[in-house]
Amino acid sequence: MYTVKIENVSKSYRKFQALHHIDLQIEKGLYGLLGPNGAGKSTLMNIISTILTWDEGRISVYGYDLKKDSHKVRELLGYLPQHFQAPGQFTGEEFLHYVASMKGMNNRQKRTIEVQRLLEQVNLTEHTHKKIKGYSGGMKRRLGIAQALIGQPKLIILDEPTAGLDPSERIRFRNVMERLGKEYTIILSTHILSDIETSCEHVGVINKGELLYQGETEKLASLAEGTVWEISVPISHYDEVEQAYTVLSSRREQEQMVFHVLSKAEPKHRATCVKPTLEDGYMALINGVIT
Amino acid sequence: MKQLKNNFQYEWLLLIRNKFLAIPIVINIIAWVYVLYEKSLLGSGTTVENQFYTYFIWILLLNLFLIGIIAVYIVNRDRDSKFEQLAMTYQVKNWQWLTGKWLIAQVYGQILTVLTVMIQIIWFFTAPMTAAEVLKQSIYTFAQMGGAFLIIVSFGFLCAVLIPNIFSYLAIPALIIVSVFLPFDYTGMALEFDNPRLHLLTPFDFMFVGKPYEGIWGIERVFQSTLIHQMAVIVIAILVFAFILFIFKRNRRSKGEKQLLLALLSITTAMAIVISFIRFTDYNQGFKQYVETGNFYIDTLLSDYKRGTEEEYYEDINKYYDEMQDDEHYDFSIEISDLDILLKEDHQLEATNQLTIKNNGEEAADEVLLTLNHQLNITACHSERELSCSADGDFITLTLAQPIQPNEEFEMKLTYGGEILQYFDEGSGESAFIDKRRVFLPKSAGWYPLIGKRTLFQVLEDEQLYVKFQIRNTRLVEDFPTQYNVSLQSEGVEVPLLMSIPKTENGKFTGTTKHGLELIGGNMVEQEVAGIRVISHPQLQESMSSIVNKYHQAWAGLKEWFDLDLMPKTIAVLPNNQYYNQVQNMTEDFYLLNEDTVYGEGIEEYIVNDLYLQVLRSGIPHPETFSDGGSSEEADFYDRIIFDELFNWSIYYQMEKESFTKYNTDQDWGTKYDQKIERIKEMEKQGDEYLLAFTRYLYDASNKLGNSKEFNIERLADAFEKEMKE
Repeated sequence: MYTVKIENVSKSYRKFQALHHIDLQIEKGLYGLLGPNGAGKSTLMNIISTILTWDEGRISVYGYDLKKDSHKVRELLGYLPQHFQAPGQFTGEEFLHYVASMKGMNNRQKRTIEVQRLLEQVNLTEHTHKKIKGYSGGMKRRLGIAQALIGQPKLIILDEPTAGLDPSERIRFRNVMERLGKEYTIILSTHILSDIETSCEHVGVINKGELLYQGETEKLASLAEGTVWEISVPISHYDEVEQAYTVLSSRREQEQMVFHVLSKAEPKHRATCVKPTLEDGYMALINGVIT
Repeated sequence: MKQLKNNFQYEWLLLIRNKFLAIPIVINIIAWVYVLYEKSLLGSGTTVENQFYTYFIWILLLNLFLIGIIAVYIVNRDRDSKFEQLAMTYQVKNWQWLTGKWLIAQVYGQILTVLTVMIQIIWFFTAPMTAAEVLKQSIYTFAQMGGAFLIIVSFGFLCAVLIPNIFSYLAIPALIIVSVFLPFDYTGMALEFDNPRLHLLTPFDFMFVGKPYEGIWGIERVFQSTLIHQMAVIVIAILVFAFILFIFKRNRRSKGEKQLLLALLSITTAMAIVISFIRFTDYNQGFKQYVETGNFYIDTLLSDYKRGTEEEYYEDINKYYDEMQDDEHYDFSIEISDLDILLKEDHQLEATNQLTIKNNGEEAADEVLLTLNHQLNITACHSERELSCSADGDFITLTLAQPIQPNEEFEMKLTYGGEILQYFDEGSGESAFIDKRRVFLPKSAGWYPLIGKRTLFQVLEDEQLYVKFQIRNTRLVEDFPTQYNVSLQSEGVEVPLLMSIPKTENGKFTGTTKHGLELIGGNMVEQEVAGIRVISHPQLQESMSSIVNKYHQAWAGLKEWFDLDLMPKTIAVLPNNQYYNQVQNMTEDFYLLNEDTVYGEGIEEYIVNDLYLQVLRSGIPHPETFSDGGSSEEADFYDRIIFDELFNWSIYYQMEKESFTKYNTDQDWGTKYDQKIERIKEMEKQGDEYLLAFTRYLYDASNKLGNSKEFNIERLADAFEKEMKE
């Protein structure tokens, strides 16, 4: 059953068309949203999180019409924007209390239990009474995640949630998400493909306001089957290869350069077709190598 | 409401933890400490109310700017940090989100208001004021400042919501400049483009600024209108905030919220219209009357004054301000005037006046003219002699059946009454009024019959002004003295009443004067200083005593050296805004002194200028007139300058005993002047009294010379020295 249904949604800012007729269905669980900067991801997330309105189309969240029942949707929503600064004069605990009260938790006792639970979940218990302005970037990000989780939301939208987290925090975060994903719908927008690769069963790719792909994460990689090649050439041919193909990666091996490139046809250089990764599939889509 | 309470509490936490927000409070404290330090420097030269409100206006303006900026900051802070965007995904309603912030900005502003009121209360209790007076003053300050902050916060929020960038901060000073500084510059002289009615569009009652605190009349004049003005300001502040809520994030506004906001907008709009209309009407009737007064006198009296070329304009202006033209000779006099007056609050007056009129001319006449303000209605006009009365504008014509012969007298009785309320400066101040706690009836209000056809107001057409005219009261000194016997009663007037003639018993005043009657009531006391009766605000007794002593020295000197007896019997110390324009009474029996006259450095110079004007206006010879009636300009320019300087020095000398050379330093009139002044300095070596005697000699000479062109200081110095040797 789809929890979020986006039908034929378009949005423009004056003459700039930010979203073109997007159709997207999201089920319970972790959903990855990929796309380069300016692709329209943030616009779409801002629309789902009730911040922005749209021009045409229909969106429903857990059966609620987003336009008519946005206040109902907000009751189900947890959102972490990519860039936001919590008021630095608050302590972490005060900030979460403030957010919890704005999320409708007016009972102080219940709020305190919820705040303590979340501080523990994001590993900030030791810094409960420290002012936010004294937090590191990673701590602020974790606090941001905590605020999104207040009130046990059914739809959680996270924009670059692991940016600034160290590897152990990132693993901890993934575990939390995976656990929550069993019950709730979580939309993850990130540039870190490994977050999606390990956690999200489904993924959507947006570029220039158009939805290029939606489906299983594994299938996105397999879409690029037969388009990813490994080429080994002398170092002196570096520029020639870079100009001829979309280079995914390169490494030096003694006097040779080994490239991973995207190409529909077999490259004229000596090339071996390799098994594509999620990143290869994403790059192949964005660069129009596959459609 | 619980949600709102939570928002408020957390916003409060943010407020008290923001160190930068302590800056305005610190600035306020420093400003008031400075003011108190200044006050101790000034001593008790003026009332505490006057001092407080003089500084209050500047501190209020500074705070308006600061609070406005803070209001913008409170909204912009969360938008710039993207926290507002995040909060919009929470269940918190628009009104809860914004109202929490709005209330906290208001609380911040009101902290400054309370701080100011507390300083005021403590300060005012150091003066001899009753608790009730202090309470009234603090209510007034609270309404002015509190209301102003309330509306600037709302406009700050509006700017921040409508202009989502740094320019929202610039909108605050722009708003303050447009609403406050435009009228601030043009009070009483609003230019063509500047409708004085728009001066009501200020965050505090502007009339207080235009006409500062008025000592013996206190804040009585402005208190009620200020409260109405500030009520309108408060309601408009709420209306503006309701409008902000209405336009803020419309996509996330619920139906219920929209309906509530529409209801709030409707209620506040209706209230704002009603209260603003009351305030507008309150002001507009004064403004209308001011315009009517101007038009009345411009049509009947001075319609020939027009703005022509620049030269013509200045000629007109000089003519307009020439008070000597106010005096018009008339052969008839009122010998005795028995006046029974009943004053009622709300500016009502009823009077019966028994007049003895005499023909001092050399010809018989069957028509006698009187002047009485056209606002007052004559209800009866009787005489044993057969006569008829007719009124046209300010003038009453008595037509006698039998002509009145030279030196003949006749008696008549006039009964009249009505409202006597006059405004000046585009209706922003009152120049004649009768109220519960304040009364002022200057002679120029025409509140009792004057002999002859007297111009009560002089009007000058001025196309550059919004009202198209300038207006001033007139001098109205009569040719012959009148013996006044006044019986004064009042209903609803709660302050002591005094007149420009001496009080004989309770409610009775008797005196003979050609300067007419002035009637004053307010918070005032009487004291005697150097034989002069001084009426002033209780707080000014001490400083006025010192000032009057200085005046006394100067007047005594004028009497001793020039035989000019200009010392008044009574001095009334009044605010300097009581008249239409600059003409004030400075007569030998009733002298009006400005309340702003502060004892201290420079007072002697002030007195010299003041007395010089008094000499000028008294009609007696003085350094600028000559017995031949010729213009003083016919005398040598440098001789005239030196004569003026000697005359002024002789007044100054009575107070400071300073030599002419020391008094007359830094004069730069060129070589010819220097040559002439050398002669004076030579004479000064004979002593100060020698030079005083020479000044008197010049004074007498100027009055005796058959031709002003003959006035030559060098020649007169030779003659004087010759006389002295002999």
